[in-house]
Amino acid sequence: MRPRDFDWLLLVSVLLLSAVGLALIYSSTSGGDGSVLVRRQILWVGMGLSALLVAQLIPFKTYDVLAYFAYTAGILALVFVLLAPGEGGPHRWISSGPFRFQPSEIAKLLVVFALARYLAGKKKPGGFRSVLVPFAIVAVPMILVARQPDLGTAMVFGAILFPLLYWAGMEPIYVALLVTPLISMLCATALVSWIVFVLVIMAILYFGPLRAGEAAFVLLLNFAIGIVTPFLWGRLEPYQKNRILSYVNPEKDPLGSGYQILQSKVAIGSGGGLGKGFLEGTQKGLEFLPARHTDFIFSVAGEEFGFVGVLVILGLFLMVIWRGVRIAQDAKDKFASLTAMGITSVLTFHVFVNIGMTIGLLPITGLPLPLLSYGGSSCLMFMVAVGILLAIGRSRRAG
Amino acid sequence: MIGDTHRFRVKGLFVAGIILWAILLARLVQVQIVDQPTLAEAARYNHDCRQRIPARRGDILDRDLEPLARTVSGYAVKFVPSEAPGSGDVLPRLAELIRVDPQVLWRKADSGRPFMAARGILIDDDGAGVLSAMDGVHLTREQARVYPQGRNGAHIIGFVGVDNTGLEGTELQFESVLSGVPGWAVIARDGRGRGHSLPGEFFRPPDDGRRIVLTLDRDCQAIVERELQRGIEESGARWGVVVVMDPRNGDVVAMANAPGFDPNDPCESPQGDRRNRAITDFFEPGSTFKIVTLAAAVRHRVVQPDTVLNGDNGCARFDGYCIRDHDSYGEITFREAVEHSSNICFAKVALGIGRERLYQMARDFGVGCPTGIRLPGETGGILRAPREWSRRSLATISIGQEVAVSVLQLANLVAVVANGGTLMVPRIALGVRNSHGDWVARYDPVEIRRVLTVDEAAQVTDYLVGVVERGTGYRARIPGIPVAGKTGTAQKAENGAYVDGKYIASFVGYLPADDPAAVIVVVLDEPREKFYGGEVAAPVFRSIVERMTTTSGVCLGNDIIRWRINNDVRLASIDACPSSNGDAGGARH
Repeated sequence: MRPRDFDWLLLVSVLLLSAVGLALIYSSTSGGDGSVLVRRQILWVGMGLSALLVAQLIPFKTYDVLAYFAYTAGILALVFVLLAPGEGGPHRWISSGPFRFQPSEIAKLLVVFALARYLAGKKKPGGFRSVLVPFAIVAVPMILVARQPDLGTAMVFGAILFPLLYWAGMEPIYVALLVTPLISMLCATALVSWIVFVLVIMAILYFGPLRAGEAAFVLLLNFAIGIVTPFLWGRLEPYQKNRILSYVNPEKDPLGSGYQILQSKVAIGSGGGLGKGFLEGTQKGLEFLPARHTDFIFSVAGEEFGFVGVLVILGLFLMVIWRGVRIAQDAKDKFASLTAMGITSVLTFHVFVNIGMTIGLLPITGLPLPLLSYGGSSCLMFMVAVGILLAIGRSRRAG
Repeated sequence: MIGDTHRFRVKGLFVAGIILWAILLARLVQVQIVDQPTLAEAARYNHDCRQRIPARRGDILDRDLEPLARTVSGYAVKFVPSEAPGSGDVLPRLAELIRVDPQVLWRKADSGRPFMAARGILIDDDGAGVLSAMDGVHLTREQARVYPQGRNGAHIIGFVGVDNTGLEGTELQFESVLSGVPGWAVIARDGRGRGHSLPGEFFRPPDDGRRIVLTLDRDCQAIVERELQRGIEESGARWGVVVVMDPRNGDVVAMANAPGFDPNDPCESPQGDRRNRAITDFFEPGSTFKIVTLAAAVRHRVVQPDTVLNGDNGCARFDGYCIRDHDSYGEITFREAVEHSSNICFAKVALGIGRERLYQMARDFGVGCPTGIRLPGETGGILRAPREWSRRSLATISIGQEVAVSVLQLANLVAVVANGGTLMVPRIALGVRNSHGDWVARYDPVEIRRVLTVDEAAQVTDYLVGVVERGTGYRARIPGIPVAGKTGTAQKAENGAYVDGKYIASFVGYLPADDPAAVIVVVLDEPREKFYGGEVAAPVFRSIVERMTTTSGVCLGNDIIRWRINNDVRLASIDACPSSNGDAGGARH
């Protein structure tokens, strides 16, 4: 292994992010039972770094061979979690001694492998028929995780699919049209937005390269969803709507959905340009911020380090993502390239959705901020993922 | 992989990434730069809160600055029976530690509900530790209001609610003076509402409440309470009221209602017992009201003491309405009519006074108007205008019917005669002092009007001395001290008709008659067996005076001793020089 083949920029960015994460966890839990959590997270980061080193030492071929097997094992683990007796809350963890592990985290990586393996074996996906199997690969874990219930994580699987289809060579127009039913569902909550959206789709279909049958299928699908969604929603009793809304976000929202977002915005906003200083945040220090060491750790960063600090963090993430894309671009084979892209997609989705949530752009979904949030499973998964990226990067010229 | 495709796709991803990051950055700029001032304010609003620092409630003191109500920093001891299954072990120990009768605790614990075992108890930290370790015992630090005099003067002092604001009596009337202004400190409050003090933040100390100095005399009050209680027990009355006033300045020296209550635990007593009947309730005074008629007769010279009137042998008709005497009198002088409280003779005299002049005199005495005492809930009594009177009203009002007064009003109108003719506002508070003992405000005696001339008042007193010396009030005689007084026995009216066997017995008196230092009014409701004011109320009057003159340190006692000394000196000087009229008289011989 020659040093210049090793992606030092990626590793250094990841190490810096982990260090920032530990500092923020220390800050956000100082005064309480903080030291325990920080020590536990240091342990997790240590384990994660070991896993990273191991992952990047394993010959990359192994992942290709084991992809489907690992995927199957992952699905079984998700089923096991779902069937195992929960502790009154959601079925998410496999407990082992003091540590609990979420199979859904590692399932993200396994889905990336399986999808990459499948798409690597095919020519570039063309029409809608060619995406049936990729849809199925994603849908199975997605449904299982949604049943836990953990809709935020379930959405991550969807977020893997579309970038990979795009990276595998599918026409952008097809990828866009695949996404339309989802957008249609969201737009259907307001009639005007839905009409505008359908008009846009029709324009795209008219000028686009799709065959008449495919165009009709897309349009029909959108119409059906657009009509059924508000109808179903309107049939629901208010308590059922609330139940669905809390299904989206089961446990993170005990005091009303506005509270967390408001307090998070107040924390970040009151940080201003330069922040209140490390350990000086009043929002986190005085426990206004819920889940401040896990999902809302970015709010602590915003409050204590200000806009400048936040820019640094966003820059580090951008560096990781940029290196991920470069590794995907330079990978020696299609499977490696797709895997790198999948990993990068998972990370990007997490970063965008989590930060978007803390600044009030997106609803609360409960996705952790990679490498920063407290949590063992997530830390381990992203470290392994980075290890795999490093492995792919190291082997790019060797092949 | 195919480089060209990827180069194109990388560009696409690059654009997508730029868009995503631009969205995040735009939003961050908005939140952290544009909205920073408002959100920083929101953060301050979140955690900064003014914490109230309660002001210490001012004490209530008697006229000798002895405490009647005090604020102590102590502990409230709450006992929750359900948390102490074996309360049999805990209660005796608890009772011993907080110095409460174990029987009381047992009784309260039997209900199973949590209760305050003690409030404002003073224990050291060790004791607090021992207490709070006991099952079912909960300690909280608090400002506690304690009333060291117990039931004595409870109606005047009043009491506070659980929030330490006055609910009755002086506590209510002087709430704004007593309560003070709470201070505040800006502290940081966390998301769970717990306070954290921030160094260098703003702080304003509380402005403690002022102290009210009442006109009450603690010892005098204690005597009155005890004698009233005894009077009620001996007469079997339902309730009784005694008011002791200093006629010279209108000071209410003592005011007692029985049955009473303990302001330390007001809820233990029924609401009726917590009422200050002396000022809130009015009643038909009966014969004690004849003082007003008498004053009017003196002022308008309707009769002389030796004017002979016909008592009509106990029954006379006025406009078809029969007025009776409790004894049958024939031809008697007016002085005898006063001394024996002849209704018939008074009614006849009233005819000579006339409606307007009797009404005017009653009004001048303050009947029908609240006295203006600084206590809550005062009634004004009832005095109808002459145009609303029936044809027999003149006769009946002259003997204290068809008219109603509070006990305080009665005392106050007697004080007019006692002090030489001036109606005053009864004074309950001498003034306000701050915590350093300086006077912040003084409430000077307030004269309302001159009702009688000194000479007219002296004439009335002369009649009233006769009542005690020779008439119905003989049981109020005190050896060595001239006492002026009047008895009253008013039949109670229920549903518009007088009821047989239900009376309000009263005695009003003042002494020493030639230089009065105290007006004492005793009113007993529905005494059993004996019901004449002279029989049941006058003895209470006398025992109060006796106790006061034999107990050292009581203000009235001091007055009477002073009077005795002056009197002895005067008598001695008269004995020494019979023909002289003073110390300088010797030169004429």
